[in-house]
Amino acid sequence: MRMRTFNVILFALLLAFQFCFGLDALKIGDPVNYSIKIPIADSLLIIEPTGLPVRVLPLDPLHKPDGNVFEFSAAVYDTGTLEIPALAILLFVKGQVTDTIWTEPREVIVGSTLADSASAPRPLKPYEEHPLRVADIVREFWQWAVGALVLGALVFAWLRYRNRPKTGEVAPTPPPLPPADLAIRELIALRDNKYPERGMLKEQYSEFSEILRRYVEGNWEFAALEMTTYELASELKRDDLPPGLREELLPVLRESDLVKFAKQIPTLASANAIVDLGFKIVEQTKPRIEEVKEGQTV
Amino acid sequence: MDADIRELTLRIEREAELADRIMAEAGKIVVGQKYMLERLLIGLFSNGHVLLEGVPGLAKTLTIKTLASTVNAQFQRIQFTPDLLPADLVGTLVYNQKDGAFTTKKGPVFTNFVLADEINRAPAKVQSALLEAMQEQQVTIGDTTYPLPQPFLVLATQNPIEQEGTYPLPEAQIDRFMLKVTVDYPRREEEARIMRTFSRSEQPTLNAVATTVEIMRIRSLVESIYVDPKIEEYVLDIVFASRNPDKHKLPDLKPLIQYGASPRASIFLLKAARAHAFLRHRGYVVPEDIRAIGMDVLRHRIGVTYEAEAEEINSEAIVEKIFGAVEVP
Repeated sequence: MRMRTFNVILFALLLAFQFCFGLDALKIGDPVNYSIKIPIADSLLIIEPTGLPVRVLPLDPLHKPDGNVFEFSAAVYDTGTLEIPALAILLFVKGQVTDTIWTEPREVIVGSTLADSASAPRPLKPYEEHPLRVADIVREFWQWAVGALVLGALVFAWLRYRNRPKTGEVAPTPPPLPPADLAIRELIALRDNKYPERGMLKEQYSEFSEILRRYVEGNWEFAALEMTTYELASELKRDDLPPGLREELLPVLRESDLVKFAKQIPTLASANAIVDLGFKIVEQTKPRIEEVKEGQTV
Repeated sequence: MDADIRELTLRIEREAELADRIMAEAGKIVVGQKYMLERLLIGLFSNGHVLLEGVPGLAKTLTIKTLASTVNAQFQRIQFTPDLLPADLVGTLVYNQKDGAFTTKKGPVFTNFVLADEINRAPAKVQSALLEAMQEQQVTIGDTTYPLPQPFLVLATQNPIEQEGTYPLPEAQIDRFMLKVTVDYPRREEEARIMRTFSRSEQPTLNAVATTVEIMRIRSLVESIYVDPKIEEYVLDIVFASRNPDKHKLPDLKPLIQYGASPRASIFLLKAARAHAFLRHRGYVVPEDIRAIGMDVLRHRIGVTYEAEAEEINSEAIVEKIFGAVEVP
């Protein structure tokens, strides 16, 4: 005898259907509950039919310990006269499939969930117009507008305060002095410092050399301050320089170099005389502004 | 002029005749290249090693050999090759089977003048073997340190082209060279003289016109040349402008300089400037001396960034800008 036949007899299968409604009064989604009592099986697995608008939903808990009643439901998701096919149920004992049983196919009539046509539909609300009005906007946002105005006023006041004209601020700086005038002014200041009388011979010659280099740099636009005396000597060979500048300037710069770098100690008289020599060089070589006589064109 | 400086200048005028004699004797062989010869003398008189860089055939090796011949001193030429070993340079310990002991075999570096020819052709380990010799003037073989003969001078040459198969000198070693002199082509009339001189089989003979004792005496004399604090300030301004160009009215140089000149640059600027003043028969340094040797002292001590390389700006252009911006005292 086959094992399957033996199991079916032994389990005293009881299959019952419980209907919420009659099988011909179902709506879409209504469950059709199944109850199976199987004394021996531990659990079961319902094989869901494929290709049909039927879903099998196990109820919670599927396994009921009192009397080994297993419950599940099937729901239909289509309208019309349909047949819930015979569902295959696998029976498990200690995790092993021991048998397969089948439910009986059932024909059901499923209706749709149409709206209730007994009562009349409610009337639509009338169309209302809501025009955009300034008064409404003001009423809604006036607090924000006032706040923004106050903030803006504060920022404006702060900017005005920060950029206020400084007290005692003078008019724009005057244009720089011509190099010759500047050199004369600096030579006067150097003479007034009386460095030789104070024993500061090196300072006397350093400043003197710097004044003349600055004068040359300002007048003829080459970097005399960054040039050594040797480089300056070759630069002063240019044709556009006034005659005598090289011959007058180089000896005093060389003498200054000796005082600055070779500890040469000049006499007090020559240390003072060098400033006069500076005046002479500047006066002789500064660019002349020629007078334009009446009727003469430049 | 201060009495000490006047006396020093008189002494220098007497002693500088020796430099003139060397120049004249070397001039028998080396035509033109006065600049290079003068830089070699600056290195010789201020105890600083010199690196000559130039394309092949510019008489770099000949000039060094000629200079060595004019001084009655020992001279060794070492041709740097990729398979050279440190022991080939400084020497090694050799096992003597007879007495079962190690004996020291000194290398060619034990001489007065070392010509390290094509120094960038030897690997870094050989170049590094020169480090101790150049800096400390001594060599350690095994457990023993041997002083090198005085004067000791490394004169190296390298070729800026044919970079394949060469080992560029590391910064640590290149910094030990006081001067890096770039050798340029001779002028037309100089080349005509070179052509005539060297197309004959008979070459002029050189005489040793100086001794090592005289060289050492000149070295001590050069060291006594007066440097005013203003000149020292000028040197510091130049070196610091290479490190912080933005603080010396040179903000454009900031992104171009990877690293500025080391303190060794300040030391060598002063030493070389003293030697330059000596060659000009002066007992004191003037800004011209700094300007004259500044490029050769600084060009290999300033690293340029990738941005500078992309704009084809080299360290020489940077040094020129620094000298053009730093105010002369």
